[in-house]
Amino acid sequence: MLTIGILGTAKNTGKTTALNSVLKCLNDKKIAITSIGFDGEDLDHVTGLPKPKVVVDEGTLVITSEQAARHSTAKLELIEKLSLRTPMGRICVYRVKELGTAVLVGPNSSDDLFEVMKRLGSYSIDVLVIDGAINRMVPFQYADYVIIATGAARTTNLSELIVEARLMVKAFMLPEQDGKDRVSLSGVISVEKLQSYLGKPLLLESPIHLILADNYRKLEEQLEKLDIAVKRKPKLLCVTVNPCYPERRVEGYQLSKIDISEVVDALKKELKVTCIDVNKEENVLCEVLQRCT
Amino acid sequence: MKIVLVPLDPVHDVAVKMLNREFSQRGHQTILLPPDMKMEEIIEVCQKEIPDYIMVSRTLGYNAAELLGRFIDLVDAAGLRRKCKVVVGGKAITKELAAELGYDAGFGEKTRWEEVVAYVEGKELSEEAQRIKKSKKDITQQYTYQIKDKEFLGLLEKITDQIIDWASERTSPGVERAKIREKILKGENLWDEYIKLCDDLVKSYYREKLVPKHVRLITQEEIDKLNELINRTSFAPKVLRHTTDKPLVFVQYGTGCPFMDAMHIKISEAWGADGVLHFDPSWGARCEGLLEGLLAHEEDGSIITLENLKLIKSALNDATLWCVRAHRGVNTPETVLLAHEAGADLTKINMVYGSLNGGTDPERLTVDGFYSIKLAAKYNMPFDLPTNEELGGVPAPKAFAGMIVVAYLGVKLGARPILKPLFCYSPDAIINKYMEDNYVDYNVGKILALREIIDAPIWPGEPIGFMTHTEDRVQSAMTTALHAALGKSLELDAITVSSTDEAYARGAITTSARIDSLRAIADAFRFFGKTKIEPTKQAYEYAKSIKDGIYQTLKKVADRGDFVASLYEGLFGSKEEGANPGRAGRGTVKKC
Repeated sequence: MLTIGILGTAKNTGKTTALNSVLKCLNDKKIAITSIGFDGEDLDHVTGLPKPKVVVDEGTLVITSEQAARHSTAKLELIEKLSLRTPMGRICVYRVKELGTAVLVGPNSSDDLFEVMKRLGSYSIDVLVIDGAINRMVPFQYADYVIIATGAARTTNLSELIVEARLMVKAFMLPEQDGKDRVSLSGVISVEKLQSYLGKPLLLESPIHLILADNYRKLEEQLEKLDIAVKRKPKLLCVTVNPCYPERRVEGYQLSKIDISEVVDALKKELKVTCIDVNKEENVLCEVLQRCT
Repeated sequence: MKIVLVPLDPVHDVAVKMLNREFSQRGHQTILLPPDMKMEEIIEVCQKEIPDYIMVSRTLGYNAAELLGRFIDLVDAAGLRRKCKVVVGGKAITKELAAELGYDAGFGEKTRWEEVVAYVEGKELSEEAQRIKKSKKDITQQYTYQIKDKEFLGLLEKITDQIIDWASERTSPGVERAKIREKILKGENLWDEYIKLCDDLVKSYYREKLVPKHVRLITQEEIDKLNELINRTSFAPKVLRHTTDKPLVFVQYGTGCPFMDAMHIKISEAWGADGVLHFDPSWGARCEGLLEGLLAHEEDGSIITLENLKLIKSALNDATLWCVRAHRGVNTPETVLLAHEAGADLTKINMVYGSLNGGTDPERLTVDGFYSIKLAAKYNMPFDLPTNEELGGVPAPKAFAGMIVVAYLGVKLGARPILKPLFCYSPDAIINKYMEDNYVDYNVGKILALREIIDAPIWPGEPIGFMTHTEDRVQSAMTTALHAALGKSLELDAITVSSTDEAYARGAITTSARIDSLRAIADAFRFFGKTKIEPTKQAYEYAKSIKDGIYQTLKKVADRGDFVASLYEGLFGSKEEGANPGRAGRGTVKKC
């Protein structure tokens, strides 16, 4: 079973849109789907804006909480109750009996997601697709592949958006453990901590542990100087960029759009990574997925 | 338990401080962090302490979602998720958002400490403790109805004896219809007899199926939709009062459409109203006979039919008190009958107001009112006595004299009356400058005067603050809330409140305007708690003169020796004062 995670840099960066595209691209495979947060709600919990629905086809396995399952329009058949809990009740495995929308509330930590992955080993599944939540990414450290979803919702300052996306891509390109004698750093890595190890080869747990730091410009500088490898890493499939973002207005939020081509071009040029506008280039995503599955 | 409390916020740490106090008092080990700490530092503390719970508090703004998301990621990356439960709290937190953020639990606005403590201590909060329970309250129960002043007692005995003697040997088409309808309800087919006693409009409805103008039958499809909507409506019970038991808060409805009424009722219940009052169309009060069936009406007031009342009853919460107005018009006895049949808790009867400002002939309404009060007594339905003739210009003492006469008549007939003085900026108060300085003293004076005369429940309306509202909704909510606070301060039993667009809606009122008033009142009750509003000395002077005015009126009526004649002759308010004896049903009273 392959696992593909969709990791966002903020709310509304297009995770669910990417997820739906992935589901469409993989429609010939046996699929299971879950979320590390909450997905498939009608309206955003913060902005109140409408959200894209998660559409699941017959036969797909859905790993979600009891209360969330009740809010799905897809007909779901309960297969197994897991021992994991969420604020929305216990996590269960369901099979889709009839096409419809699904509300996803799945394992919310690395350990719980790992548990779910282990559990699904006994089902004959080709791909487990895991939707992200907000900007959370640590649970994806055990995934095989990730798609990074970023866009104007993260920041409308395009140069900042480029710096951040570039750093994330660079982190995912760090080599895996190579037998070299390295100082092993576990847990949270801050810019200050890295500074103190300047000159020593380092071994981090995953690229995600690195990009949790909040000063990306400084971090990028340090990446140039440091020799870092990671214990485990998901492979980066592609970066999707969403031009839409919730704009704060006096009367509430409104969905706005900016020209994001500058970011797409910059990332394509500077880094050898597939970068797509999530709304336009579904076929490119399908090609990338075809290659890995 | 070991708990790290984190104000993940630049300044706000009140919530975690209060939790800190609660948890320490219960013997838990707490570590309270200061606001504005770097997340990495917070993680370091947690790694050192390895608490059972990390509790994060944050008032959510847009970026706060990312902030809280990053924090949970850091906890995860630090390997703490297996060891600690991570909980988030804040005004905008919901269970759904907590799930999205990946926290183990989330506590939002209106969370009580008991809930958080129960969660940490692994106890299930009993349903009982979690839920506010609302139940119906009989506001007449604690009153003796004793007349406190002997001089008043003598006058009231004389006046009411005369009414009883006079009315006992008279009847009217209204009384007769009520008697027939009572038998129909028991299964007898007496419709022909009933229809004979009706006006042409009602006759042609029954005989030729002609629906009156602006009235239409409600379809089964509409009824099904309403039932579905009502079934889907659910909300946690809410109490508007803060630390006091009084007053109950009532709203009035009567949009013409029973569906709209039902939804107004649901909205009002959801925002804490304790009771609702049904208002019928004004033409219904002048037309002999009642229609039947589920009927909508394009104008103000919702048509009284047994079916309409039952439909509305089906929408009411079990704890919501329901009053059906019957006090004016030529269908008063039958309305009391149907109100009881449909399950109403209260009704409204006052022949003085109904005949001086409601358009019904005094003689007729005295006969009908007398019978109606006997029905209310029989059905154990308390009835309230509005004094809205004050809005037409009748001075409060005269309106109150009428109210007290009918109240005392009610007591003698075994019923339980409720006094309804207005809290208003009345024409009489404006002309005589009773309210030049404030709206408190004269209203307080009214209550003090009534309390010196009779031990009876008092419920100002309808609605409180009449004539102090403007088209400005904020202003209207404010003045309603202040009058409600005055009612609370005076420990009155109930109040009726308007929506903030009631006086200027130019059509059906809106639900958001209903909520305006109820929200404002809740905050007024919260603000004042058990504190009192202190009137000036003037209030006591007003009380004295109002009491004296009531006495003088009663004396004149007693001396006249004829209640009905007193109504015609202006003793309870003259034409110059705005009291106009009505004409509907004139000449229809017969001796039995």
